[in-house]
Order: sequence, then structure tokens, then C-alpha cells
Amino acid sequence: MQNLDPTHVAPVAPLRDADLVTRVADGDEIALATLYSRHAGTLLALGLRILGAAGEAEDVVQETFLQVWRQAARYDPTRSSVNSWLVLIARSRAIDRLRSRRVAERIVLAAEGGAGEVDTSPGADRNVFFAERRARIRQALAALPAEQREVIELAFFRGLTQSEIALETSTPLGTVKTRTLLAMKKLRTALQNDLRELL
Amino acid sequence: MSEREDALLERVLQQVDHPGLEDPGLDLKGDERRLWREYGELAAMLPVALEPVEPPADLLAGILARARSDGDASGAQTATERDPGRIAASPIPLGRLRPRALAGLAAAMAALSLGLGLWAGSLASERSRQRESIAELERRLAAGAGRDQELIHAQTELEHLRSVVTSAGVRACPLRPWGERPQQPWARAVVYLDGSHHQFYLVARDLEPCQQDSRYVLWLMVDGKPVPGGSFRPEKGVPVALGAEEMPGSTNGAFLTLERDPTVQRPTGPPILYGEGAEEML
Repeated sequence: MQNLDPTHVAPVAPLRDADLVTRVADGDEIALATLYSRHAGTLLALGLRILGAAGEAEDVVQETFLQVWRQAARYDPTRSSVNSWLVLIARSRAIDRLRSRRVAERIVLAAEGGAGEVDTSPGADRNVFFAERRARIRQALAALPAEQREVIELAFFRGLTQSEIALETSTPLGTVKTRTLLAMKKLRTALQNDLRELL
Repeated sequence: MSEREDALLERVLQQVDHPGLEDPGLDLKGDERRLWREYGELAAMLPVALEPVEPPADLLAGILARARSDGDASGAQTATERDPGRIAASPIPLGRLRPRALAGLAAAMAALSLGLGLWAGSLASERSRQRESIAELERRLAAGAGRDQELIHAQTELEHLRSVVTSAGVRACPLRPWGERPQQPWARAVVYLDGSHHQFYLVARDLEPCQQDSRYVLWLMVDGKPVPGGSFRPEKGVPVALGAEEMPGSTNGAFLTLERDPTVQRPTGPPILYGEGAEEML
């Protein structure tokens, strides 16, 4: 066994997500498992935030990766990145479940879950693959005015529509839309480099 | 552009609200299409800000099991199903940091190789099969242990391997051929990572023998950087077992390269096999 010295070695580029999807389309389970190792933690966190129930969130992750397995050949990299594709699937499935519940139930869950804010505590960042990007997104979110950050978090982390946000925050719908538009423009500017990597 | 941008952005948000809506992005051209893509990607990127949640250990296994049953139903086959010979039994020489052919151990190690070559997705059932394989190995080893010092040594190694791969919390990182045109498309390996005891075990098979002046080097991915984990020279057709008792706890992947200098501190060639992420065995 040689001495372990991480300071003298260079990183090796991993396979891109899009390459992995191509392999999944060929029936490669390891490629599916690699995609899972990169994205499942974030998708599960998203499912938990939207649904507030671990079992249902896990079902969403399972359904998402099964859809990837079945439809990998239909993935079109010119339309979206793999991350975007996965989030779209997971979010769509989570929202389907959420909207099948009664509104009152969701309000109770939201009140119990305290789900509206992003956990910015340091450490325990298990998904190294996205760690740097995660930090930049959090920084960009933290730089938003509180009312803009709130609408973004309610829309993207809790799956509320603009109308539902208006109801929940007792804010006119027009104001919610304006805040969201302003926030998205600021985020696009702040995260320009990350977006370039995905396009 | 601002009014147009606002209109595009509103449509993106409508899609966020109602994921089932038809994607109008396809009808857009030039800057508008680029802007649509950017906002779409931004909307999907924001959840990355959430603290990832560790999925339960059996979730991936469930997904892969269902994927396999899909394949059975549709006729689609996994790579292993298409070529079951790839994981057929064959002998593994055991020897820390130096492969060794052990003819007497060949048949016994074959069963273990079968178990170790499978992907971690079926780890629950895999573990049960491994136990059976190991029990068989032990029976065979016990029968021949008195004959040969090498066999005794191999038994010790086997015990060590068993203790590593069956410990609670051990993670399996499968390595597979790397790149668009893999140099060795048939080669396979699994690295078992025991973070609790800072040990790892590599089991590789179907690696091509290297030239006299080169060796395979195992690199552990530690915080996104490769760290040398040992070198070896396989024999043709003989799988390899390689272990060490010094592994950074944050190891989360591994790969193999061919190197002329086995003491090299950074990889100089492309990965032959590559694995990212590791799944718990239980």
C-alpha cells in the first residue's frame, strides 16, 4: 500500500450525465445506478419538501428512475440537461401526488414540516458531485430580498402554484408573479456560469 | 427583449405550475429558444440547493429489481443478461498486493467471483448468495488447508475478504469499462469500501495481462481526487483480489489505469475501469 497523498494528484473527469443516459438506453444498470448516486439525494430532498412524507418521496424517486430506465432512449439533450429532465419528472410526479390530496391535509403538513427554508447549515454534504453548485445556488438565493426568496422557495421547493403562493402568503397574485419574475432574472444572472455548463 | 423575456419567463413558470403542459420551447428560435432553455434549466437547477437526503439502502435495489422485471417483460436485456458468461465462475488468486494463481483454489474462488461480480443493486439477494459461496469456499479450503502453506495463506486472505465484504456498512463500488471506446470492454471489478475500518478490497476479472514494464494501479476517489491505492499485475484469465488496510473514509469511487511507474502519484493514462459512488451492502 502506498502513501495516500491527495495533494499531488489530478482529478479525472467522470462520465457526463448525458453519456450515462445513453448507456441506460442500452440497458446498462450500472449507468442507471451512477445517475442514481448523483441525483437521488437531491430528488429525494425535493420529494420530501413537496410531499412531506418520506415513503411517498421515496416512491417518487423510484418512479423517476424507472421512467428514466424505460424512456432513456427518448431523452433529447437539445431540449434539456439530464438534471433538468430528472427534476421535471420527479417534480411532476410529486405534484401529481400532492394535488391528489386534500388542500387541508397539505396545509397541516406544511405547518408541521417547516418546509419553506433552505437548509444552509455547513457540513454533512453527502452529494459531492453537486456540492459546489449547491453552494453557489444557496448563495444566490441568500442574496435575494426575503420576499423574493420566499416565492421562489414556495414555488420550487414546495410545489405551490403562483395562485397557491398568493393564498398562502396573503399577497396579491400580481405581486407574487412580479416577485417571482424579478427573482428568476437575478438568479439567472447570478448562476450564469452554471447554466452555461448545462446548455 | 425585456417584455418578451417576461412573457417567456411566465410561460416557464406556468410549466412549473402545470408540468403536464406542452413544452412551447420547440417552437422558439434563436435567442428566445436559448432564453427558454436557460430559464427552464434554472427552474430545474434550484432544487439542487436543498440538502440532499440519503436514500434508504434498499431503494436502489428496488429500482433495479423493477427495471430488471421490466426488461424481462419487454425483452430488453441487461448487459449481464445478454452475456452471462461474463460473470461465469473462474478462479481468483488471493494475495495482498500481489495476484497469485492458485490452481487448487480455482473452483472455489469461482463461486465467490460470481457473487462479487454482480452489481450492488441486487445486494440483498447478493449477500445471501455470497454467504453460500463463502460457505462452499470454506468447505473446500478446509479440505485442502493442510496440504499447502499457500492454501493456508489463501484461507487467511479469504477470511479477511469475507470480513470486509460482509461487515455492516461496507459499500460496494462497481467499476466498469470507461469512455466511449473502452480499452477493455469485457473487464469488470468491484471495490468493497469499509469506511469504518479504513479497508478496501478490489476484486477484478477479465483484465488483460499488462506488458512487462507496466502494472495496473488502483486509484481511490477521495473528495473528487484520485489517490493511489496499490498496484498489481494480473495473469491471463485469472481474476484478481487486492486489498489494503489503509483507505480514506471519504472514498466514494475508484478506477484503474495502466502505469509504467507503479509508484506514480497521479494517473498518467485513461481509466481502464471506472466507478463512481458506492452503495451499502445491506
